[in-house]
Amino acid sequence: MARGGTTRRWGRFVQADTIVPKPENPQDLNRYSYTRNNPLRYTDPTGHDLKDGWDCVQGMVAQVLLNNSSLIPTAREALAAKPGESSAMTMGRSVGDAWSMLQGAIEITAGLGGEAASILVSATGVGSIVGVPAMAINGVVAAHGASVLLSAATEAGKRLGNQMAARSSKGTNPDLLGANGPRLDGSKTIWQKGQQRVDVENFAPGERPASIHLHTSNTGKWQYRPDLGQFAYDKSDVLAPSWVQKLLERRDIRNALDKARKYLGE
Amino acid sequence: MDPQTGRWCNVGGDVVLKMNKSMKEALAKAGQVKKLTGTLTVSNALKLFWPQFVEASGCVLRQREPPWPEELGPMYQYQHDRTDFEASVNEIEIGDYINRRGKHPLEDLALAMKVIQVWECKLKRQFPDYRFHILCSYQDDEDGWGANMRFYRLREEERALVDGDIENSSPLAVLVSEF
Repeated sequence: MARGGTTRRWGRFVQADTIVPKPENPQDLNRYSYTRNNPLRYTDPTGHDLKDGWDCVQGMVAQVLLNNSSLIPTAREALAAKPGESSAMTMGRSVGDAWSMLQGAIEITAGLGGEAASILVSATGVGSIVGVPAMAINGVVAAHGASVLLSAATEAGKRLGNQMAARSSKGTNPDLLGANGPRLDGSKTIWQKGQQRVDVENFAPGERPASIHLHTSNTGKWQYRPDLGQFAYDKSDVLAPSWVQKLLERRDIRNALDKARKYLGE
Repeated sequence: MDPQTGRWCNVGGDVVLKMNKSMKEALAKAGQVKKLTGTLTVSNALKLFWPQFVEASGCVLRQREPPWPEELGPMYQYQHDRTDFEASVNEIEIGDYINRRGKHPLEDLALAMKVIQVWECKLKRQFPDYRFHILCSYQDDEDGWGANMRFYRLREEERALVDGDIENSSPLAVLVSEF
C-alpha cells in the first residue's frame, strides 16, 4: 500500500509507515524514512516491501557455494541460513537454489553424455587411452551435479517447510498486542539498567497477546498496558501502585516502553 | 556429565532437550565458566534451587509471598489461557538473584543449566502425572543481557508457548526442556 508519496524537499513520507519491516533495525523504526535513508542501495516501490539488493546477492552467492560444498561440512555450516536473516537474503537463497538446480542438471546431462561418448571411444580399443580417463572425469562431473541438485532440492524444501510452519503459526487476531511483531521464543530485554529492565515477550504473534514488562527487582514484575498507558500487576487487571506509575515520569523508562511497542510492531 | 549443557542426569530418562544454534554456541562458551562472580544469598539460593511449587486453579506455580490462594480469584482474569499465566508468573531472570556488579551473562546461563535440572526433578517428583516445558532464553547484545527461565504445564487443550521450529524463528538463544 502506498503511503501518500514522499516530498522532494524532505525525502520523507508524508504519512507514517503502517509497517515496521524489521523492528530490530533502528532505521526501520523511523516510519517516515524512505529506504533506510539509502536510496542508492535499496528500493521500496510499494512503500512497504523494502528490497535489500545486497542481502539478496549475498544470499544467492552463499546458497550456491553451500550447494557446491557437500563434502565440506564446516563450509556448509558457515554458509547455512542463520536465524533472523532478512527476507531479501532468504529470497536470494531461493534464487541460489534455483541456480544450483540448473547447474546440477547441466552437470548431470554433460557428465552422462560424456560418459556415453567415452564408452564409445573406449570400445574402439585404441581410444581407451583417452576414453577411460574421460569416463572417470565425466563420472565425477555427473556425481557432482547430482550432489548439487540434491542439496539444492533439500535446501529449497526445508525453506518451504519453514515458511509454511511460520505461516501456520501466525495467529489470526490482528488486534492482539504484537500481532505484527516478530515471534520471540523467550524474553527479550529491550532496555536494562542495573536490576531494572524492560522486556518484551511475543510467543505466538496474533494468537497470544504479546507483553511488555518492567522488572524492578526479582519480585517486582509490572505489566505495561499500552491501552491504558499505565502499569498493572503481572497478569492482572489491577493497576500497579503509585510508586510504580511514577516511574513513567522517567524519560529512560518512557523511551524503553516506546521502543518495546515499536519492536512489537505497534 | 554432558560437556555441552553441563547436565549430570536425565530425570526419569525422558527429558527431551531442544535448543537452537545460538544456544549451542552460548553453552559452549558458558561451559568454560568455573566460578560465579558475586554472591548468592541463602534466601536467593533457596528460591532458585529449592522453590516451592503449588497448584492453584489447575495452574502449577512457583510459590510467592503472600502465598497463592487455592483458587485464583477474579483479580487474575486478565490472562489468555492457563499456559500463558503460568509461563508469566513462573518467569525468573537468573541475574536478579545474584549480588554483584557488572555484566556476566555467561555465568547466568551456566547457573540456569543447573537450576533447570533441579526444577525438572522437583516438578517431576511433585507432579508425576503432568508434563512440563522449562524454557530458557539467553541474550547478550546492546539492549540487554542475561539468562531467563520459566516453566509451564503442557496441556492437551492448550497450545504450548514454544511448539514449533526454534532454529530459524527466533532472534534469541533458546533451550526447551520437555519432560
